[in-house]
Amino acid sequence: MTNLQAQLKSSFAANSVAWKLPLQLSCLLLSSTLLVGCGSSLNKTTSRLPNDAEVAQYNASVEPEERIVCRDEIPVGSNVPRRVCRYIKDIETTSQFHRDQLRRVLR
Amino acid sequence: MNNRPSKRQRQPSRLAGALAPLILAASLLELGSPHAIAQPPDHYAAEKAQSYLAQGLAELESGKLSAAQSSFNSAIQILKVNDGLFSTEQIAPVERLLWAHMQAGNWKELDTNIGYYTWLLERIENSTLASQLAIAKGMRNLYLEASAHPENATPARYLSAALRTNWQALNFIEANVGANAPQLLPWLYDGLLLQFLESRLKDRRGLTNHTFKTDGSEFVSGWSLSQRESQRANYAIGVSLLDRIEAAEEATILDYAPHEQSPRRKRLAATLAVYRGDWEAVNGNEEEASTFYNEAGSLLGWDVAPLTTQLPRPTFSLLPLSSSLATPMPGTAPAVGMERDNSRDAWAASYRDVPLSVVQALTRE
Repeated sequence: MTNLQAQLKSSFAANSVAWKLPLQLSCLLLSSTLLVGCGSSLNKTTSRLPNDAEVAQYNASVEPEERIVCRDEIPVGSNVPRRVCRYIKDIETTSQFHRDQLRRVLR
Repeated sequence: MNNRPSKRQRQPSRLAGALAPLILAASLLELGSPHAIAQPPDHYAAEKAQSYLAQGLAELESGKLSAAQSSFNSAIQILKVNDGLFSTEQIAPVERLLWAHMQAGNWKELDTNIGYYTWLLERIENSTLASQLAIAKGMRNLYLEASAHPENATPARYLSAALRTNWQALNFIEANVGANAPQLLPWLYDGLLLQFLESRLKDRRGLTNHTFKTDGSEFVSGWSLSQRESQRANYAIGVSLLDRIEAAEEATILDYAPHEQSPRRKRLAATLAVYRGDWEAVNGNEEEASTFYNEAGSLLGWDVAPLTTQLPRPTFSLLPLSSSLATPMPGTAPAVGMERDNSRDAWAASYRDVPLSVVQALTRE
């Protein structure tokens, strides 16, 4: 039996062992996350991205660095929003990179 | 030089030699006697743990939070000494200690003790699904109350923890008894109520970024969703939870009556329409709410839209197949069979228009 107590720990503390990403959701994320490259075999699984409830449930079961954010974004050259999912750590890294680049340009 | 003692000198030592066994025997007898020497008090006697626990509970009840913390700490210390560092007997006093710290607004101590509590819980063996869910519910209640504490500067952090705990319980049930198990139903609906609370939290700092969403360690912090996106997600999660409630209820019908085109199925459809209407109503979508209520009314033959004066409803239950039990429009008297709206009072100042009955339903035993 999975130990719920181990999961409760991740409610407040970062150093817990958490439920791992379900295979299906994992494939979904891997096949669709923009910042993560993936093989063509993964794309065969499905193109559906997790909805908000699935994201919340998944985020509750993993360690903080594995959590994701999904949102609707309008890509350049289009008016049609599309849903993209990213790891939080990647958002943070990308933001930092952009901040650094901007600082370098403005220097 | 003659070193031999004189006869006078030798006499006392011979006497002492003869008396020594007698003295020794007498002192041994005295030591064996219970009344001879006062025993030092045993501060770590096992039975004292229970009395400290009882004392702490009484102090907690009467609002003497500092004294309660001291009593619970004493009980925990005694249990550690007598039953071992990993003894699960500590769980009860630690749980009470968490509440004492939370009520006193000792946030740092609360976090420290939550860490100890979860560490201790990992050592539980042979627990059942019910007992683990009871622990999850206890933690969820603690986080909820912490989020409503008037002296809490970071209510979103604790509400996020309550939401996560609920999701974790859902994960746990799914992993153990299946994705459409009836045990999921109360947790799914509680999830909806928690989403409602999230939408009513006044101080939303932390709900739209990762400072609080990523726990106490805050190893990443930054913006993730705008407030509008966050609100949209909140609404969408509520809709998904209702979908899952419907799927779980459908599964029970299929289990017991696979070919049934029964009143029960009709009741379920109508009930879900009412709850969907409620969710639209609490999110300010009056037109969509009316559509759902009309759908429910047509299914059940109601002539009154099933709105209540208090939304969301505290619990999920199938509505009766009787028009006489329909809930009246807001402002009129409550109908037969529906809970009387006597707890419209706001739950906490940190939340906007949250009926007390919603939180009472969430925190019920």
